[in-house]
Amino acid sequence: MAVGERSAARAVPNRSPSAGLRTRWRGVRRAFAKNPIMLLGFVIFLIISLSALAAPIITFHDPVRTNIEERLEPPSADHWFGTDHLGVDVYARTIYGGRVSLFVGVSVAILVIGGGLFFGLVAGYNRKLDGPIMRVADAVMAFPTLLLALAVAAALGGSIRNIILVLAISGMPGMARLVRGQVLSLREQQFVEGAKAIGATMPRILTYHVAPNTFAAMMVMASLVFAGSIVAEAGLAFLGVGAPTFAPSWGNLIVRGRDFLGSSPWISFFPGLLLTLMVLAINVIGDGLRDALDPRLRRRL
Amino acid sequence: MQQYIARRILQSLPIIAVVAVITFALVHVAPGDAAYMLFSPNVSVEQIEELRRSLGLDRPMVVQFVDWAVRFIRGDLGTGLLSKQPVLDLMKPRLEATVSITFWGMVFSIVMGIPLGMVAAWKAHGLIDRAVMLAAVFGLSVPSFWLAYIFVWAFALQLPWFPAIGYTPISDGLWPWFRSLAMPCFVISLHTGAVYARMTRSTMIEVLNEDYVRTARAKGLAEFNVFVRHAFKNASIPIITLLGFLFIGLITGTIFVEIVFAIPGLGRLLVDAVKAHDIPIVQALLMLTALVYVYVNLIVDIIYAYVDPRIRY
Repeated sequence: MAVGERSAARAVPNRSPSAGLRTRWRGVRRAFAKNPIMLLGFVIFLIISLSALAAPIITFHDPVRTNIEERLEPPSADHWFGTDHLGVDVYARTIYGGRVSLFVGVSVAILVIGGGLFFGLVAGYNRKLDGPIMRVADAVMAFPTLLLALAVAAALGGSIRNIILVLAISGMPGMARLVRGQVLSLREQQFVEGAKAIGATMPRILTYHVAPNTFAAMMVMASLVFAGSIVAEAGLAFLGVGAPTFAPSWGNLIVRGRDFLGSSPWISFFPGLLLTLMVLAINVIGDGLRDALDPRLRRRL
Repeated sequence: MQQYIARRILQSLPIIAVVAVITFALVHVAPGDAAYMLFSPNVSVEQIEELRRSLGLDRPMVVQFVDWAVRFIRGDLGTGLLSKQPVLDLMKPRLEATVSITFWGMVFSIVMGIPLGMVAAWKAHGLIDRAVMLAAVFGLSVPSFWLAYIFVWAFALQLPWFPAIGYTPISDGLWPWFRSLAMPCFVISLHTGAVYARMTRSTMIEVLNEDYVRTARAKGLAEFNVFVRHAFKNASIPIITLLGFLFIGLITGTIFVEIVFAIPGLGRLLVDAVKAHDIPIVQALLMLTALVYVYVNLIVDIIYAYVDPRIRY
């Protein structure tokens, strides 16, 4: 994961100073229209997200009720994804599991954007705080996300809240570093000087002139964080330090099928398939956004 | 150059210090300390206090931290609470498996990543490029442990090609050793190989847009020559330095496959220690990983500065 994040941070976009938020959105729309794979990714993303939201409507069995008589049944018309060792409908579990996984992903992405923007802006604009903030960021980045999460889970116990917090903390330095880099190059730009010259205050310059111009890079990074935290959460569940099993995420569901791999592979297969499709879709969207929103890269290719 | 190396090493020291503080703090925010870990119902309060004194847990946090840090620098990584063995002794027999996985993981990633990335760059935005890049995004997205299950199901349970679990040490022969590692290493290298292919592609595309490549083409050189001699030679420096990131990327993957394939390596040691709240082991392994991370990055930077003098400003 660390490798992917790094590459994204490096490939990150320069700014086109005059372009505002609206122009960016136009760029996003155009990118979708021109890139069919990205559009497909977006459709998959929508379908899975909506199915998680509409879980009670589109599933036909209780996701927690056990039924020993129907245990380990292969996929059928009644149980689309089969049943597990307790006779629970795997389809219902998988759809409901999406709620937990996506909640983790969205929460982490929001926290990372917020925290990263804050620390990045501060570090980029305040020379005294720059050093300390960046040293701490470097140190946090020296731990692979998963190891950090493992240690926290060991110390505080694995709960959804702890997992979201630790994933957010390990994602923030990357975002902060990215925003800081953007700020450092933006503050020398003429439109920032212009704003300063007409007497705009520092918070105003940061909010209205600098922050919107970091938008493109942040979108790309946020999509990476979103996808990454879904996988990381599943990974922690797999290692046995993740969310408690009464709120089964996709990761919990995959692990549940571990002992039945030979006889009933569908228990692990379908939750993993949905997870992979979702993460794939988000990554495709992120890549497409990067290509579309990065003027430097666009010029070059 | 020496000046640059010295400066980079000096710069890494504060990071290491913060890393040490984080590592120490992380495992000490836990409610209850190591003494409770060894606590069994028929032990009296006095005995716990006694144990705490013998483990040095009654001292102030700062003293404990300094003590731990000084010992760490001297090479004493601490002693496992449950096994009562020095962490270093616990690590030694497990090193071979983890190093083997990382080695083959690197080999697979390179063998897949570089050619695929080059082919994709060759016909950038063509059909092949799109197919390769889609495959790469898949490799990036799929969780390794799920993929590992599918591989076990397909190539060990359905088709008996590879052993489902276990590790055969290299002393039992090269072929059995490789056979036991083929599946786990292929699984983790899909992720790092995908990252590598993407990086190779973008580096190659960048180089292919350089003036000297246009000149080479204008001279009428065969496309293959232009591609390999002029473009790849120049692209190979960043591509080689990316090996460092590859190595780091494999650390996480190793943990997962060691669990899925029941390979007795360092990742397994860490996960077991986490589950048993064996704090000294967790602390030592966490610190070592972060050190590896910081110094691999450092070495990469130094190599980069060595081959590309413009970096040494």
